[in-house]
Formats: sequence, C-alpha cells, structure tokens
Amino acid sequence: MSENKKILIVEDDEFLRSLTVKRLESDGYAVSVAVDGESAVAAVSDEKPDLILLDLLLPGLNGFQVLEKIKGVDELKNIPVIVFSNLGQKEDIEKAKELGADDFLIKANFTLDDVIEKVHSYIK
Amino acid sequence: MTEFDKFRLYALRLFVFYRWLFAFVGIVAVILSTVFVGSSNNFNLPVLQLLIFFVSLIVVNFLPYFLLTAIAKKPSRFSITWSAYFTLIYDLLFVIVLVYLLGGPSLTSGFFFFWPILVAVVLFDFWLPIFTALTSSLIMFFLVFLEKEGFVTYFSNPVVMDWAGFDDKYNSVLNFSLLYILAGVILAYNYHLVKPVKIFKAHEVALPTEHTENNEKKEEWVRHMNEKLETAIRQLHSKDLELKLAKQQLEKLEQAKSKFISVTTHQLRTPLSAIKWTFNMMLSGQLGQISSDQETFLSKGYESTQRMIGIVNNLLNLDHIGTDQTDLTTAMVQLPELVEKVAFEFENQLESKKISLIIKKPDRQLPEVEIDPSKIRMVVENLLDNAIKYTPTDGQVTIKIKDDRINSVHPSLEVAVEDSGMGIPEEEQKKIFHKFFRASNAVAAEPDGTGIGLFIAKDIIERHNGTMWFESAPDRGTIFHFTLPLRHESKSVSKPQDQSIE
Repeated sequence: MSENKKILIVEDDEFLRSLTVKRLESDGYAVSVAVDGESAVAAVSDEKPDLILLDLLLPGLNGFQVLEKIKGVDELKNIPVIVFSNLGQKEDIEKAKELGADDFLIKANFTLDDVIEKVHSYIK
Repeated sequence: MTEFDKFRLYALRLFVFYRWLFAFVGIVAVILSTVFVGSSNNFNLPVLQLLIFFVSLIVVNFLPYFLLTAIAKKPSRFSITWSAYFTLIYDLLFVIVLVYLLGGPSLTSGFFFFWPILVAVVLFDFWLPIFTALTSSLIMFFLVFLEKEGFVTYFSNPVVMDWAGFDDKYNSVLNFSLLYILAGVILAYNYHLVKPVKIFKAHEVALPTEHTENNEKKEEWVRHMNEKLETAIRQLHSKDLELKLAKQQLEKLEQAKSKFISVTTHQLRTPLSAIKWTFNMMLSGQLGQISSDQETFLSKGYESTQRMIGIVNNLLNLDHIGTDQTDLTTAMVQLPELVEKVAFEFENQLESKKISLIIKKPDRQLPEVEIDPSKIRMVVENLLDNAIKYTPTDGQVTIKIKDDRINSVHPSLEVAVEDSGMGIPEEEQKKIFHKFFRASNAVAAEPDGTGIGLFIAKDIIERHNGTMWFESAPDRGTIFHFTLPLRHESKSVSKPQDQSIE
C-alpha cells in the first residue's frame, strides 16, 4: 500500500526531522530529506516524490519561495504539498494556499499520527 | 469731551490766526492811509498808537496760541470752556482799546464789536452771544458817558468816513454799504464756523475721543490677549508635535511587541512540537512497551505540553485581537460533531480527575451553522477546559446543545457547558469576561492560567453575532451558555464595540 511511495521532508530542525522520518519509515514510506530551500528544490526535481512535507522557516530560500518554484514547473506542480510549519498566522496560511499548497498543518497542534493520517489521505 | 468741544478748540485756534490776520491787515491799512490819503481830517488816525496796538496784538496773540497748542495735546471740556471764556473777554478788551484809539464810539469803531459777538456765537450757546451784544452796547454807552463827563478824552475825533466827492446821503449809504458788505463777507467766510455750531449743539454726541483713555486701555488689552493667544498657539504646536512623536513611538512599540510575540511563539512551538511528539511516540508504544506507571507520568508530561501549546496559541490569538482581525472564515458545520471532537481531546484530563462528561443533544438532526470552526472550537475548548479545571474529582460536566430556533427571532443554536465545580463568587462575576481577570478561588485552585480564555471566547462568539452568558452558584457549579445564529447577517462581521448600539 505504501510501498514505493516516496515522501520528501523539508525541515531544518534536526530532531523534528528525525522523528518524522522515523515515523514515516515505520509506516513503510521511502523518505528523503532536505534541510534548506535550495536543496529542497533540487531534491524535488531530481526525485519527483509522491508527496512533499514542507516547512516554511528555512535557512536561505524559505518555504514560500520553494513552493512557488515547485508549482511553477509543469512536471512538478501536481505533487501534493503539505505545508508543515509552526507559523500559524492567518496571512501565512492564506499565502501558502494561494501559492498552491494542498494543506497546512501547525506542528504543535498535531501529533505524528495525525500527520500520518494526512499523508495517507493525499497519497492514494 | 464732545464733538462740540472738538469744534470749539478748532474755532479757538482759528481765531488766533484771524487775529494775526487782522493785525496784519490793520498795519497795512494804517500805512496805506498815510500814503494815500495824507493827513486829511477825514481819516485822522493816530498812526503811531494804532501801530503799537497792532504790534502788541500780534505779540500778545502768542499767549493764546501756545495755550491752545498745549491744550490740543490733551484736550478736555474744562480747558476748552475756560479758553473760550478767556478768548471772549480778551477779544472784548482789545476791541475796547481799538475803539478808544479810533476816537471813541462811532459807527465805524462800533463795528468792531461785531467780532466778539461772532466769537460768542461760535463758541457758546444762545445766551452768551446775546449777552455779549448787550455788553458791547453797554460799553459803547459807557464810553460816551465817560467822554461826556470828561473822564476820558480820545486821541482824535471819531473816525468818520467821509468820502470825498459824495454828499451826505450818498456818504452814509456808502458807509453803511461798506459795513454790510464787510459784515457779510466776514460772516460768509465764517459760516462754516457758525453753521456746524447748530449741528454740534447736540452736546451729547460723544466722540470716540471721549474714550481716548478707554481706547488706550482696550488696545493694551488686545495686545495682551494677542500675546497670550500666541503663547497658547505655540504651546499647542509643541504639544501636537509631542503627541505625534508619542503616537509614532507607540506604533513602533506595538509593532515591536507584535513581532516579539510572533517570533517567540513560533520559536517556542518548535521545541514544544518535539516534546509533544516524543511523548506521543512513547505513549503509543512505538518505542517499546511501557509500564502503567510510566504511562501515568508520560501522560502528565503530554498534558502539560498540550497546556503549554495552548497558552502559546492563546498568546498569538491575543496579539491578533490587537490587530485588525474582523473577518472569519466561515463554513457550514455540524455543531454536535465539533463539540464531540473537542470532548475527545479532553479524554485524558477527564479520566485523571474521574469527571464524567455527558453530551446532550436533541434527537432530531440539527441544521448546520455558519461558523468559523477553528474559532468556535477554541471557545468550546476553553469552556470545557475551565469546567474540568474548576470541578473537583468525581465531578460532572454536561454539554447541552439546544435548538433555539423556535423561541427566538434569529434562528440559532445554543450550547451550554455545565459543571459541578466551585462556581464564581458573586462579587467577581461581573469581571469574569475581562482580559486577564481570574476569580480568586480559581487562582487558589489552579495557580496557572492567563485569564484571557473567556475574554477571547466572548469576543469570538460576539463576532459571530451570538451572545455568551453564564449562571453560577458558589460550590454548586457554573453553566456557561453561548448562542450561534445559523447564518451570518453580513459578510464581514464587525466587532460589537464598533457599532454604536449601546
């Protein structure tokens, strides 16, 4: 079911990243990581994952800019993107939605199980 | 001081000038008479005496000249009136001397009494001219009397004007004519003096000059007020500047505060998320089996983390209330579902305090409400959190969802959260919705708490055009109610405070 499904996690916090990776892998997903905006864009075009979990506060290029870039490329724009951030202000959610994000989760308000559920719902 | 006085002063000074003119003409006439006529008996004039007379007239005339100039600087009714009397007497005296020099009273010399009468007419009322005229006549008679009685002799025969070559009748007529013409000319010339006298008989016509002293005072007052006004304006300007600067600073401060809260809360969320997930992973058994003791303590840790996240979220919301957040993102929501989801969040807490939660809702399917689900969720969370916090162990919390459509004007649903807890003391009830307010017994039972939960909750409900209220009895329990209209009246919901209803 979740075999061969690739998920790209873009997250600069090491601990959160490792927790998320561990959780996803235990559910059978193939997970790759990017720690900043630049490498995220590169990773997306190289690997073409089935889903992207995108943090917004990143060193260098921020999440919004990554989102913009990805959604501007024809072959990449259909990959579901779940914005995964601790920025939770209305303007940020709006902006993300406008730039083409499929969902927005505030990390502090959800458990990893909730995250897995969301991922399931987008990868079908 | 009246217009009349002003006029009198003018007349007095004019008379000074006339006297000099008269003296000058007199001197010329006397000299001419010697040149042209020789010393015939007809114009037998005491030339020397007359010259002395005229010269002394010129000299003495300087006295009234200087006097009147001085008076003109600070005129007053008193000084002018007495100057007028003085002038009249002075002129009368000079005329008497002149008559004497011209050989005593005669038609010719008597003519000169015309002058003081004119002066009296110009300077005074009705009676004084009459009096002057009578006095002049009396003087004439008196002079004749003196001559007859031998007390006085005149220098010469009375000057009589006999024009050579005319017989008596023509002579008289000629003399009379000359006098009339002279009188007419003098009167006509001085008509501008005589005429205005009538007009200015209205002594009550007060001149602005009457108030020269007041005027000065007024001007000074105006100057003083102007200075005060200017000072006031300057002070206002500087105050305005101060206030502008203060406003700028406040705005900067507000921005800085917002930024600070925003940054801090977001920074806090990251480690909080990590802690939460760690606890969650451990509790779910993914990291291995845990003992029940471990579970208890891990649960407590997880709850505390949740609490912290709640506070951080609240802080952010509070800051948002400062900024303009008047629009809600509404959706059609099944209220009972939302309530049940929230209740689920609190399962752990309910269990640890052994509080039973009952959700009551009507049997019929309720309509959906147009609400902002995340915000209403916060409201229910807050009420439920309070209910559990302030109810002792083995207590009871009931959430009732009611259909209020039948009995009210605006169809709405009502939610009531009832607990069996400590209640709210009566004195503190009216402050319960105030920002940062916590009832004293609440603080005692639970030291942690920001006091903004209810404030935010009420604000959210009101922005949905609903109402929030409560009933409470100490040690018996509290019920918090809120209503939500099924539909929003308008697209953008403005805060109730913005509307000037109450």
